[in-house]
Amino acid sequence: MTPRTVTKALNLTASSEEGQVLPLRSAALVMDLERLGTLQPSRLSFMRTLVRRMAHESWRIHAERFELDENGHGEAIYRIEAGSERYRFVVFSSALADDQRNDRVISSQWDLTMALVQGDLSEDQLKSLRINVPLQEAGRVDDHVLVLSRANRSSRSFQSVVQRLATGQQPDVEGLKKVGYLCRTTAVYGSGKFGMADWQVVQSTCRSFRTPFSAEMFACYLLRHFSCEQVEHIAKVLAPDRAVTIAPEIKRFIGIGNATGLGMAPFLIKHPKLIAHWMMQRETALARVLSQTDCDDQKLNCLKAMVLQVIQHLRETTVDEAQQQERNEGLVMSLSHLTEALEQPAFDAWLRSEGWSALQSFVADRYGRDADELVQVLLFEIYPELVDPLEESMAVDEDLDLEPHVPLSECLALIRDHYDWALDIDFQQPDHRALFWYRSEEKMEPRLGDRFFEMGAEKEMPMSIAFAVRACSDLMESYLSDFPDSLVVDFLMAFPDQLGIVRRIQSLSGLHYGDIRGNLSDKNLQPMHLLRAKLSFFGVGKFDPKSRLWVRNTMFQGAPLVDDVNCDRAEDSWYFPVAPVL
Amino acid sequence: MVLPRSAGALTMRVSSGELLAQLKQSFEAFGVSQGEYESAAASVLALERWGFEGLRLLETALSRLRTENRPAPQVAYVLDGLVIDCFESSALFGLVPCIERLYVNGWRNAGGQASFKNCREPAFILPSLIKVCERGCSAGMYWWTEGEVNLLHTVRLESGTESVLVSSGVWASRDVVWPDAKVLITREEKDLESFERDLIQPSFELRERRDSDEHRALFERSSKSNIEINPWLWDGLQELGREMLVAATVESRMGAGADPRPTEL
Repeated sequence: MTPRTVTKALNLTASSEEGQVLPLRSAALVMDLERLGTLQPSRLSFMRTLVRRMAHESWRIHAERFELDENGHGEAIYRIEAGSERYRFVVFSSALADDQRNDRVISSQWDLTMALVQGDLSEDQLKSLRINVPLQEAGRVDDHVLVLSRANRSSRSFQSVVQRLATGQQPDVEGLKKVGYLCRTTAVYGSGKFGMADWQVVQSTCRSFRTPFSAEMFACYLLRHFSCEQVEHIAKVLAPDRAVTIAPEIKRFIGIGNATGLGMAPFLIKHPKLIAHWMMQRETALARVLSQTDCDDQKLNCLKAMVLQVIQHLRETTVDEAQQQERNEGLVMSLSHLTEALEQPAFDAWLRSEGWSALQSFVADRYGRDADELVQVLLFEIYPELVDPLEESMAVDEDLDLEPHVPLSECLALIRDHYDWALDIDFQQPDHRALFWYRSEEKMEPRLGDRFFEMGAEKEMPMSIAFAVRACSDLMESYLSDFPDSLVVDFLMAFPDQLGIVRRIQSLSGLHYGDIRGNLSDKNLQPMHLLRAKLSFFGVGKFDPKSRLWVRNTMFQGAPLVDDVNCDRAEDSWYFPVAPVL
Repeated sequence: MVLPRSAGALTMRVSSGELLAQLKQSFEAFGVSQGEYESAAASVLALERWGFEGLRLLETALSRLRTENRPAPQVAYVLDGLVIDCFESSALFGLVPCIERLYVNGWRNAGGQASFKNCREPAFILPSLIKVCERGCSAGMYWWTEGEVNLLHTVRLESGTESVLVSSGVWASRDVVWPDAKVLITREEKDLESFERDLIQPSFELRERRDSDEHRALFERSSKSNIEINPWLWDGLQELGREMLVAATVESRMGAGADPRPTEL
């Protein structure tokens, strides 16, 4: 019997499309929490990959039922043909008083509730959906349902767009720059919640949604479509003779809003192998792109055009929070300098001789992390043939397992090697243990509390990996001083409560990028970094923090419309969208 | 514990994901460590999927589990393996390190065996055994359930090319021939055969046998659709899980993000 060994020395390399070995950035750099807070949406983000799939596979989307009254209340059913697969998207629109409209998970009423359903829809199923979908977390659905979500009309934009359409005018583009959506979703549920189909089932039986979160992203995409059809419908009822529909250029600039709070953060800690894998795919894309040296006219012009577009995009982005505003302004300044540099003959010649790797080093050194991460995703756009193949392998086996036969001294060495960042934290300092994560009795909403002033720390969620590793390491050191030749299994027999963290440490040890490197119980924790990292993988834009705990953002702004997809003219160039000029 | 009354449905279906999440949260309320409650939750789900009625087993044990003391198992090293005294506790909690010990012993000595004394719901050991067999060994597990007819349960786990092959049998006997649950880990399937020849006596009557294809089919089927659960059990798990929730206050509502007041007004 030979024990399977997953622990191995880290080999920080990736492969090119041709199998060439390429260097990867270090885990210390990539998994640093603050660095994760600078990630930008890219062509590997799930919204981008979904729209590409819809286009490549010629999906067809049509309203099968659209029964709304003069206020836009009623129900709509969309039929989706995705190759040989069929889905339905069902939307229920109800009356909601303005003072009931709320971004929080703990709300219980919404303007819109919706579900993405696999296959055909019987009347009995529809009856059940009518009862349960508006209840959201309080309802139960069956495993034909893939996604459950809800949304509210934007008080800032919905009614004003209706009014303009009813008076024969197009929506105010200046207003849309400030609020790039008509409706804003506050939760999107999938992966088996409330009786829905498990992710593994979706992955194996729904070819169209075989990559992580693609079903959830698709529900948001169709919500965007419905929101435009809904305002057009209300305007038409209001003024049948004068009302106009939204011009396609403006419609593409309308996304779907999203409000995200701490609820998203535990996922990043509960799925360490998946997150490490997503980072690996992203870094592999970067390594492939940076290995290219063909900085020719076409590619340089493409980069210059993209940089200018991003500058405009950032100038059109309105945020309230001072720190984010400062970051956006800093980025505009950095990119403006870069634009000037790219126009200089000496810089141009240097770039052509040194390649993209030199550009990346220049940007990182000169302009810092925000600009570094942003320019990277622009380079992805220049080489879709190197980046896009990675999108098909964003899922991973998330099983964690032990290696009980390993000498404990090796395991401790592993901790010292991979978790040096955690061992450097002095947890005797109260500030480094100040926060605790917990689930509230209100819809199990994850919340942050102050350990020294609030009740509930005894029910703390296991979010502080750094602290757990530190405690485990201390116990191992002590045990090894008594039993120097012991194995991991000996330690676990003595300290069975260390099973979870040892399993995690050993399971992640063979991955290039392991745990997120940050102290999630630190008094000065910025949870926004966690949210931003995950949202970047989704592909959201217009990142607009409202506090350190929650953020508004925009999804699918600039994306092709359903009409574009239906007519096979969906383009894949909707990164960093800018306002249309009519 | 008296399970709360369900909404009236006779059965309900839950996804594997939500069942696993609920089990973890419910078991967390027992005060066991993260590694233990995660392993226990995975055990119930795995037993159910492989066709060993994990949920029914949990249903009968849940009330007792809530008040069970769960002392650490006591391990004695004897000539032919380990003797693990569970002190009348459930096998659902606390035995993963013991199974790993057995695995390491088996790896070192080309095989190892253990007897689990005073162990309730020994079937919950099976998922941990499946896990170690995924690393490339074979195992057998044997335990009795007493009743009008005493039943010997035998499960064989063989390392397959893609996954573990699970086969099982149930034998009836007038007498419980030995009281402990027995586990054998080996690299040779013939060791299992000879071990079983010694255990299963000619007087035992074979009541049920499932080969690896049947268990695999059960596993595949349960992996592709939601799992049926007694609503009373589901309610009971949810009630337990609620013990891990923290009461809401005005201040705590501010510790989650968005302003709880209406937005954009």
